Amino acid sequence: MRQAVTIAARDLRATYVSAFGIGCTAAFAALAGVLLVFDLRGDQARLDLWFSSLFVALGLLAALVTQRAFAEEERSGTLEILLTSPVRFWQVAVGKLFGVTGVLLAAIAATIVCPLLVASMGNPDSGPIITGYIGLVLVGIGFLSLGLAVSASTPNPLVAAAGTAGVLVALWLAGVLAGGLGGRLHVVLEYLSPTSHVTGFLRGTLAVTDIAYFLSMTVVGIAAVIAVLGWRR
Amino acid sequence: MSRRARRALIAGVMLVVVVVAGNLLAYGHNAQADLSATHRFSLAPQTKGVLDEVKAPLKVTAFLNNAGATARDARFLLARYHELNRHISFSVVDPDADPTAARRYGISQYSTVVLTYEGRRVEAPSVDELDISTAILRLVRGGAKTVCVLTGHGEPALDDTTGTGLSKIGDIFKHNAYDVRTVDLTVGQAVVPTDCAALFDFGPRDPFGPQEVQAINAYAKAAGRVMLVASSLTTADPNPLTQPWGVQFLGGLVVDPQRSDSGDPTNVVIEDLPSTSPVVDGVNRLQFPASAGLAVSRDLREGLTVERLAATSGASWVESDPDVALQFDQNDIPGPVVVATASDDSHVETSGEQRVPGGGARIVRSRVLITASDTWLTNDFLDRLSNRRFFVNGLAWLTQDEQLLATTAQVSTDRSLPLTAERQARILVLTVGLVPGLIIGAGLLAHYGFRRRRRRSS
Repeated sequence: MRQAVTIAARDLRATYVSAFGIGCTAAFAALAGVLLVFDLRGDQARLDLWFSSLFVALGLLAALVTQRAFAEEERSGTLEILLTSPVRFWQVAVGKLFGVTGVLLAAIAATIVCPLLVASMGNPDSGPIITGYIGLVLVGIGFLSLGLAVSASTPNPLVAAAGTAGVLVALWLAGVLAGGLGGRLHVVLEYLSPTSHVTGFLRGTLAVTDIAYFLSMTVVGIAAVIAVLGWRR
Repeated sequence: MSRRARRALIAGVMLVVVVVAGNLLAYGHNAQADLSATHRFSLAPQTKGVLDEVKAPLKVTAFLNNAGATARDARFLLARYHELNRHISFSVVDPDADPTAARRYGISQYSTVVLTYEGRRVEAPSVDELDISTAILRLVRGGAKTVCVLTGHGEPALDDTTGTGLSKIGDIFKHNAYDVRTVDLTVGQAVVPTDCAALFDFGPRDPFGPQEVQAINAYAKAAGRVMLVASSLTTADPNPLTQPWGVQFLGGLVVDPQRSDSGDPTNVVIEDLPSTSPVVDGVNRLQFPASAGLAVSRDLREGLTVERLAATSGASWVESDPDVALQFDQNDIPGPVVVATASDDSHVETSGEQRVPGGGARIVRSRVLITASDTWLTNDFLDRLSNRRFFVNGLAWLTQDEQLLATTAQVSTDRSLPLTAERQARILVLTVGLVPGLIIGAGLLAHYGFRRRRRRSS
């Protein structure tokens, strides 16, 4: 695990000494502020609409952050060194995930001022805020791991970002498609869509199904990264 | 295939199996922790029981203004129904945005909810757990049962919303999809309609006429279901109605200095619920103010059983002369005092079975529920301790409905927050200006610090 932490620390440092990491975090925080104003136009001290917008923004953040993880390294030639060094593929995959999760947590932490502001002005229900943040972390990590899998499979950062966005849109579309179908296919497609799994976080509930879904997404993403790295070697 | 590739394939298959199995297991459980303040989106156990009865596609269409928080809450609540039973699907339609759908359903106003199931359709007045579950119960049941409520003896009214009224009982009937019919046996021919699923008499004040007694007993004996809520603070003598069911109404006033509320020994709290009857399922304590006493006959006829549902403590007694002093004396009856009973009479009729050709013997089952206080189910007392649960259980036992709703509508907390120009400016300055500015500033410091360290080291 030490190797994974070393990889994560190196990636995190590289992200935050560049304008990219700082820019992503600052932009995410600013976007959260703008979305908060839109949410509060309903004249209610509730943040469910804000959180649902942030879930969409997380998809974009995941696509941006993960495109650098492998594709950028490959472009700069450092991936070759990493893969030939004495580390296992799972350590590389987990290390990369830890690294991008650090960026995610920093971006999420930058939004905490929003609920604090709402709490200072009104009387929001703290339950949905807590579950909303738990949801942001779980959904974010799930999206990041899928993004890493896409990033590992292409040397082009732009293709990696577009591919991640494509995968996430496809998952979202599965839910839309499910609405027009019946039977088992409806159940499967609906379950595959993240849309049906964020509702619980928004209303203030933590469901075993939702947690299992996003943990599975993370595991599948990491497994895909390991498989792609093995195949490429 | 190389050994390495084979191992990778096996690992991949195992991973898929574990992930799918884990998700199937989680999908089947539906467990959730509700952190919201009022647990608004956790459905009551009775609702879950009702949902278990939904075996075919049930569609809920809520017509709401899509822009408001009500529509979002509706989606959250209806999503929970869908999670608990995948036969239930829902949609929220804004009648202004989709007037065709509104016309198709014949909807002309907001906040109407239409539920359809197996070709039947019912409407709910709002997207509230109680209203939606009631509508589902009505759909699943297929038709409303009729309960009859006796009037003509000064009984409190079901639409009386004052503290001594019974509007909450009326709401329970409504929310459990019962049609209520009032029956006045003092007018015209004294006959209880045979389509009454149960007959209720909530606290008669005036005496019953002999024809009325005969009519009620005839109804009860013919597999009828009766709930008699009696009181000694009236001139009505319920004994002609209770004695055929093995219960004697003792009158008087129960005094319990050991278990009472607000320092009033006649406001009795009941903790002894000695029976295994379903009427006391989930009932912990009852509050029976101004209760009289009941006695169960020693010699019960064959087929008749009487359950002592609720009894006061051993320190209580039936005060025979409450107007003088609440002091135990030789005229009083010592406790524990039974204050609620359930009589079940089963007997075989030699003919009458209609399900076999030529008729045959059939079992006739009568049920009578008696309480010696008429105050416990008034609006002031119905929500004290387990009184509501006791009534709903009694209703279910009489009408033989397993799933009834005892939940009350959730009260939503006011969380209004008008977005003034000052507040908007404060939010934007802090979140779009200050926080990103601090992040960029910290990033620049880190960047230049890193460059300086690198220059020094080189």
